[in-house]
Amino acid sequence: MSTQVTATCPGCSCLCDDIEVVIEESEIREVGNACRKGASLFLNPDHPAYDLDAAIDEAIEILKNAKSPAIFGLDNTTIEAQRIAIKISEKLGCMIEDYSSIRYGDLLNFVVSSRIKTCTLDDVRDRADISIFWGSDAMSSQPRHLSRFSYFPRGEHKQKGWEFDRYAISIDIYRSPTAKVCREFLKVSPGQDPALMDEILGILSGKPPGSKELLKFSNEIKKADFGVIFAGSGLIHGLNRDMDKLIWFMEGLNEYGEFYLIPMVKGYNMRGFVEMMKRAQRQIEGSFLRALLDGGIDAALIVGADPMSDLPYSLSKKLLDIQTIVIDPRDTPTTEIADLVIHTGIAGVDNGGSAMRMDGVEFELVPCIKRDTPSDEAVLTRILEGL
Amino acid sequence: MPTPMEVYQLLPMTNCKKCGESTCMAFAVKLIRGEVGLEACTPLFEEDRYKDKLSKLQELFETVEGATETGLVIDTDKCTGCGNCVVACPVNVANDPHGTAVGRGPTNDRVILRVKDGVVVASNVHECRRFGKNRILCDLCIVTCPSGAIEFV
Repeated sequence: MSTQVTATCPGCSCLCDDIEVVIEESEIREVGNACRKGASLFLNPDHPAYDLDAAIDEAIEILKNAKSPAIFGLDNTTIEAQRIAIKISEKLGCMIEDYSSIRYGDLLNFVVSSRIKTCTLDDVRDRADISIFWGSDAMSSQPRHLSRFSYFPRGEHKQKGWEFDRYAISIDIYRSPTAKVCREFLKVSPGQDPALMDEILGILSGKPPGSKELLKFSNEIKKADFGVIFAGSGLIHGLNRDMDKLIWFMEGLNEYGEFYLIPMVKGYNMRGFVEMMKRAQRQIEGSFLRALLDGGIDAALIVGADPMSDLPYSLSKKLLDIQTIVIDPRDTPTTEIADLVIHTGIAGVDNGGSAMRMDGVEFELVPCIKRDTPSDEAVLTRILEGL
Repeated sequence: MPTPMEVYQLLPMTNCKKCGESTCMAFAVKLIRGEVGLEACTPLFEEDRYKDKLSKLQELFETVEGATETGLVIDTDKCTGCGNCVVACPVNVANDPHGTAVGRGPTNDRVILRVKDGVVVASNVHECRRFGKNRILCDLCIVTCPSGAIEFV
């Protein structure tokens, strides 16, 4: 006998909550509505057997004996697990960091503290006239972003459909899959994003345009009542992490209409981590990458992250010199080199929890199948108790 | 997709009418549209002199195998399941105004395109705007696909 449940997908920061999962004989047989990235999480169980108690004891031992440990990752885990990880860092007095500052500089802090105006994705679907994907390839990183919120769906005040009601533009250094489906593509040379911002605001204030594309884009900005910039890490690198320039540009745009910014975060709960750090009144102190490079840490607790794949080799090879504990549902290049691997369940599939979408809206991840794999939260709680 | 002339040149070109059509050219056109099968041309299979032509024809039509009645072919290797086509399809929007039209998963079975196990699958293709008497050359599922996974043959 098969049953059907509705689940929330932890595949990316869109947190799609309309996933239909068909379960037969305690196994997931079919997944509806999820993109390929999300469906793979539901359809491919990977739970190797191991001694959990012994692994937790070993993790406690490593952390206790370390002189300067660090906690890293946490973008792909639940809010509950992030809270415990923050407590562990307080207990150990150690560094805790995720990818938010590495990939997006101070952007997320500025968004969370409302220094940059932001809105929800539901507002985008219902009201947005113009979606600007700047340095972000949503079609690859958040595959359902355009179809669920930012371009194709009809919304409360957008009833005519994307051909008539919306304008989407991709600004990037190459013609990405997102640029292929957007109405316009504006190519920017690497590092020339500030100059492009100057040019756009210049045209809006009456200066002659440098190209037809820029004139068209500026006219669309003038026509729009509600616009959103979806900022990817490409924009932050293009600006050389100069957030003042971005704030100045957003203020300039807001003279012509309501313009908001949503960071296109990579991990499904990166926004949650930044919020949790703010709520715990903690700030990221120091840099995990700098400490790794300088040999300032001797042990790392890596949760839900794969630095061996994400970091350049000059940095990732340093992980071989320190003791590493990796808590992850899957086998990754980082678990291959880790001293200790603790396999956990996937939130939203095997375990429950909650997570924050890229726009700050919180979702509950309800497990759709009963498996006896421990959650990140349970493992981290036991480590905290042991410490 | 081959042109009618290309297909015609691989047929016997005798206008024997055994297939029920008045000319081989008429048969070629119907063959491309998928309205008749290659096996309707009996001389191709019965006479040895058409052996080479038959194998070339079979090779030609191998690419359109799996196409739906409207000629819709989905390359599941390329499809990423983003659902752009599902939401952009005007028939999906009309048939499911509270589901696919607002970007969510389908709420009924009347939609043409839906995402299953991470890739797009087609059903109810007779509702497609490229099908039937009043067909039009709608290409919204093709232009919204970032990976070029959808084609009409």
